[in-house]
Amino acid sequence: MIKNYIKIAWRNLLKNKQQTIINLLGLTLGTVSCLVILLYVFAQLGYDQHHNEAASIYRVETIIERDGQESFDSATSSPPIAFALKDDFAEVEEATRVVLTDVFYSPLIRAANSEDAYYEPRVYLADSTFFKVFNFKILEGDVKTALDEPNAVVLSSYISNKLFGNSSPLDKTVVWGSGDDALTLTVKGVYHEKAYKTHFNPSYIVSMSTPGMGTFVQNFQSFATNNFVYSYVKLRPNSSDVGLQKKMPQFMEDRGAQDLRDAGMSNKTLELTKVTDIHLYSNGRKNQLDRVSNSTYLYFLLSLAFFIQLVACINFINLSTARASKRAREIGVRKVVGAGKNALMRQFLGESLLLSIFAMLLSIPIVILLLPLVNDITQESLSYINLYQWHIVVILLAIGVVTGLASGIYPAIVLSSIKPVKALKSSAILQSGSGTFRKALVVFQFVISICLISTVIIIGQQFKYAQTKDLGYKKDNLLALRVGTEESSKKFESLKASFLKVPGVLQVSSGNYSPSEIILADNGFYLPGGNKENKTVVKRNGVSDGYFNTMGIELLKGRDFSAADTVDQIIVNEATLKAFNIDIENALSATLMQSYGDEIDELRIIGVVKNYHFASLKEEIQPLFLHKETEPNWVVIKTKTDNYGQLLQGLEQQWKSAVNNIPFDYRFVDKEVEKLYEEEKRLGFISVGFTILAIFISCLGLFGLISYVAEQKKKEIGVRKVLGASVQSVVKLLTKDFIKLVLIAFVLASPIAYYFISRWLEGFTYRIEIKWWVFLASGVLVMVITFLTVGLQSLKSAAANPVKSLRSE
Amino acid sequence: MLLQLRNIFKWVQQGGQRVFLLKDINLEVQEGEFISIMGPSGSGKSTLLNVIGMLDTFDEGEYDFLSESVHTLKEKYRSNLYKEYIGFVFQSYHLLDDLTVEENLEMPLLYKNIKGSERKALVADMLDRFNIVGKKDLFPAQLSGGQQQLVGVARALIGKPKLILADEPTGNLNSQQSEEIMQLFKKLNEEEGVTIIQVTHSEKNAEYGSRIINLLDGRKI
Ligand SMILES: Nc1ncnc2c1ncn2[C@@H]1O[C@H](COP(=O)(O)OP(=O)(O)OP(=O)(O)O)[C@@H](O)[C@H]1O
Ligand SMILES: [Mg+2]
Repeated sequence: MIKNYIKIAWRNLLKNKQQTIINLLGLTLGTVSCLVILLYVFAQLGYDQHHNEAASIYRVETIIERDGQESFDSATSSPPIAFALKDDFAEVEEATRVVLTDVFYSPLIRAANSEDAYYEPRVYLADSTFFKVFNFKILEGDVKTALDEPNAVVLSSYISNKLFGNSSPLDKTVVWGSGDDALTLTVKGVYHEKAYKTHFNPSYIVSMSTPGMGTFVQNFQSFATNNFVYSYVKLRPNSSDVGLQKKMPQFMEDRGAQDLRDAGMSNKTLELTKVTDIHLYSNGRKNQLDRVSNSTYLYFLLSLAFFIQLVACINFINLSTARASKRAREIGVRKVVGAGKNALMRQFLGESLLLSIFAMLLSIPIVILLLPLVNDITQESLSYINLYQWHIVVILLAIGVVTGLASGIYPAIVLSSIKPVKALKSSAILQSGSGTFRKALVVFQFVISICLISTVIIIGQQFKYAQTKDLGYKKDNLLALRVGTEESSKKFESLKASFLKVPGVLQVSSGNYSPSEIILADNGFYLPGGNKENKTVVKRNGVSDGYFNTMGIELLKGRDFSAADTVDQIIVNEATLKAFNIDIENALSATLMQSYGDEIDELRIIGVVKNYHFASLKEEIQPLFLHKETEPNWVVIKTKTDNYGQLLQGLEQQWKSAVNNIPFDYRFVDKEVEKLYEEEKRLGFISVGFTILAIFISCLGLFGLISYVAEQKKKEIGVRKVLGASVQSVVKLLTKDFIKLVLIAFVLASPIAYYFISRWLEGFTYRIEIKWWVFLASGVLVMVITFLTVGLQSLKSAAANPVKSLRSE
Repeated sequence: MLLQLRNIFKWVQQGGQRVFLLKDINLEVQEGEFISIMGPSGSGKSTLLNVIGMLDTFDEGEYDFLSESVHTLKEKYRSNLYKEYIGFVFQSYHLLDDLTVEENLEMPLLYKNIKGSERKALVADMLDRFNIVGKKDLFPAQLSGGQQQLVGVARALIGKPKLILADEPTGNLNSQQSEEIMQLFKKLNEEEGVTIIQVTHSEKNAEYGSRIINLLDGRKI
């Protein structure tokens, strides 16, 4: 029986080639989208699951409530917190800390016996307990003890290969940093950096007891400030994280009350986040160790896949029910020779299942072919091996079956309920399946299309807005060059002089942060005579004189830094004035106070700059102050040239002759700014792609539907034409229904799309306004596409010779 | 007794009025009878045949088939009943164009859940009996009208029905082909005892039967 069903289904599919191709194409594209998105989503799941007892490891995060502002949530915390938790609470079995050193040290590394140094960012300092809490795939060395000693380092296999080739690096030495800062470290182990999915992504890990930042962290005592340490605790089996979380306020009170008051951070609290949740659910936390994913994006992608598959299913339903009258005779005959309703249902479901399972099989090689493109867009490294995970296989199979059933069930019910007496009457005109239902489905497809198009337009607009918005500085033709080491930092003035000689260089200045780099440093300030326990956090950057000029930042009041200035003279942005309620006219006579314990400093404002976006547009411009810096981390260069190759060569030459063995590491600021919106760009790209796909599949369905309607009305068209109807009037006859449906869809889609788009835009502090014409344009676009699809096909039938179509009756 | 109709009425509502398609039909059919139904076009012959074949419902009256009361049966049992005991032959053959002769013959057996090997045997038997073995792999469109109707009759017979209902089985055939089909019916009726009810416009064909029922405006006369 099954064999017979398949045979019949197969013949039926072959017989109605156009319908089959449309359905197969739609379902295959839908399944491909589902599969690609599933692969991506699965790649984002299961992070940090491989650690022993992963479920009982937590990251201690910091929440700082701010009056009238969004709270400041950071993935990091103050240095002593992790081990204090271990001391105080029996349920904490082990604690460990990680410091991302990139902002403190230049990540320059070389083998001790070689001059070839490399910038390799993502260098961690970690406590000796690090490898006891977290599992890495160890290739060499005994990592349980590797970080016990000062000046020890564990390398990723990538760095190990880069520095030592294929030979074992164990107990060899490397030099980290350069000049006076340089530290000699002994290699104590090597791990495989790609073995597991984890939120850690270090190039190499240095022992915390190593002199410098590490020992600073080890000795630092305040529970309030220096929130730059990633703290982890591992709880004992069967202990309650909720219970521990509840004890946090008391813990901070007991241990850090004085520190918090001194630092003016009385509203700081701690929060435990499961390490297994970091990758997907900690997106709101600032200062992440590395790129994390966002569960909202994943839901968005999954719903895109769902809608595309739905559009394909709707095609199937529409085409199958529209064709029902063609199959009526077959159904009548089958019923007369004894087919029950159930047998017929099974037959028709068999047909849709056959198709959807075929589409499923087709989608596998297509996805494998598409993987390079997918990886390019998502920055993942998916391979065909990911396809063979059992849950992917199971879900894919489920998609095939559910799609087949979902698209087959309604047509099966309609077709199997056809009454044989009617069906077998030769002249019967069969109204099978309610036309209203079919129309509703078409409207639904239009709604999806209009929503997707308007979403894409607005995502595009927002992205463009972010790119072209006046950042408050001029990012074009701006170069940032990493100074990298203290040694070269001290040479800034002479470097500046030699750079200025390079043709195409207009201005040279410097700063501690590259423009668009996230500024981590901040100070707490209060007004003279104010309460020093209630400080306002102000971001900090040190710059050279001429910085504002080079960057194109407008100085609203006062003057630039001069040679005589010290760190006590500061320039602030407008947001700072606002935060302290200082009128710009009085700004130059104002001072800000800072305190460490009993020590108090008074800083004089010598200038005010216009607000500029030193962070992503997703955040509001925060208070920022700038002080004079003579040993900067970055050189900022304003250029004007037609030949960047030559300019860069010139700069590199000057660089090489000034410093020894420090890589020439430059970047274009406009490119860096673009990177801030990578996630949005990716999202935009993906949504455009899927939108086009969804519209294409809907068009296929429309095309099939109108061909069918035209065929059904062939006789009517023939008669009308014989009676003198024009081609236009025939086209109108065929298309007017569809146009009506688009209008209904437009009315339905606009509010739905508006709702979702405005929710998405809320994620941006600086965002575009939603314009009404976007929806109108989307509606019109869908109208045009529909008219083209439907119109062309009906033109064809309208132009056909009426005598022919009448004779064939 | 094979079947009995008692006071069967069938009507449709048209413009708020009842239009009767069948009026007070009483009919008794014994096993082994060969009945011809005659009457002008539109007199309700096909309607009556469909009612007997349980393809169509009626609005009033009683219908017993092999001592089951059809009018009280649920749809499902009714379809089991006709699947088991009734075969149809149509004027326009109604073979499925996508299936070969062999597959068309096999179809009723599939719906009776008969096993593959047995199906093969039954189909082969039928092909043999109707002398169409050579045509088994052809599609209906490749056959003449007479051959198609032969397949139609074979398909009606393959489930070994007690009753064959034929609605103008020779309506589309020339006289020689009609003759053949009628001879076939006669043989089936006489040699195998199959009960046959046919609708026909032809006096000559009607003569093959043992009894003629005349209809006029839905009423037996
Ligand atoms: N569903 C229906 N609604 C209204 N009238 C119907 C319906 N079905 C059949 N009729 C009418 O019932 C009458 C009987 O139809 P039927 O098909 O039984 O005639 P017939 O005797 O078989 O005619 P013919 O010899 O032309 O085949 C006809 O007048 C027809 O118009
Ligand atoms: Mg008739």
